[in-house]
Amino acid sequence: MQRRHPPDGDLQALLDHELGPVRRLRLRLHLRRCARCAGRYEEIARANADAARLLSWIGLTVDTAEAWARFQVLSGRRAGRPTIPLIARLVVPAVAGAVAVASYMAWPRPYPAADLSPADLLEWIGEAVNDIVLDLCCADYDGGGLPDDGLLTLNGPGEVVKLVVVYEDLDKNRAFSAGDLVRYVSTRPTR
Amino acid sequence: MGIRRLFERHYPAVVRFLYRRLGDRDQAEELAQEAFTRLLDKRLRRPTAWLYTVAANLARDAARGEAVRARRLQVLAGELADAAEPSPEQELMREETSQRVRAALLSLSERDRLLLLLREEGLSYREIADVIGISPTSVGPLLTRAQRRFVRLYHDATTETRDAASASS
Repeated sequence: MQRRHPPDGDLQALLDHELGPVRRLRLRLHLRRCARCAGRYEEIARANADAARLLSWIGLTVDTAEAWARFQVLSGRRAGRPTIPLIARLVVPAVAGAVAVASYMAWPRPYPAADLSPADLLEWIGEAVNDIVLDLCCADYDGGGLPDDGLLTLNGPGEVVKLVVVYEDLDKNRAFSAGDLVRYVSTRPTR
Repeated sequence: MGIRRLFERHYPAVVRFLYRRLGDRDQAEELAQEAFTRLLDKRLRRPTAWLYTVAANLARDAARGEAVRARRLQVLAGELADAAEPSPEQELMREETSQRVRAALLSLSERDRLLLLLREEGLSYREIADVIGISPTSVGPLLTRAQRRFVRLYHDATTETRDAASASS
């Protein structure tokens, strides 16, 4: 219950729909019981209406379409540029990220190359690969900090590059050989 | 909200706000365009309050100085006198009334004037508080006083004009 008489500011806020539901209800109950405050409220409402009526004498109408066209010219057409809504700015990278992850997951997985020997590799690729096109050794292809890795590109029927392999030149002969270890195979080759 | 939607929603109100503040339509449109141009590169949580803050600052700069204010009042007085020329009665009354309203508005303090004009354009108490730099809880009481002063100033001006008219006749 409203115990004291509300100040003008509260009555004004009530009039302007700026009070929360509880205060609004309390004030309305008070106004029902207090003739003096109801009179003050009426007086404030009258001043409010009078001020609005007076200001309407110096109102004007504005042609927004014409103003927008002028604004585009004045702002060097920057205003005409389509803006990307916030939701799109958030959703597009998220979707792109999800697609990238899904694509990565769906891509034929590299052979679990750890401990794969060159002999295992040759068995695995079978006849899908004809020959080694390039054997580059040695550099730090795996980021391990040592220039002890080699890079193979292998071709197959109808394809210049069928497979890419990164190996570790364990036997230090600076070429892909039986004593090396395959670290990475780009994909399972198919005929 | 995109700049176009903001423009369509607020441009007429900002122009009206500036026009009521300055009394010059061309200047009001020019300053409103300037305010929206400044808004272009901003990403704001409350663009409405920002827009009116810029508009109010532009208007204040435009109307700065007692000389400017005095000159405007002189012009208004001249326009009131000119309005006495024979013309259709309704048009004359309309012109006189709008001049008196403008004079009453100009007689208010800057803060009272802003309170009235911003509220008239439908800004919330929070937005008004942001523009003027006061607490939202102060808006209600200050607005009540500003409205009363404004209405009283207008009625005083009307009474003076009526008295002057009856004295001269």
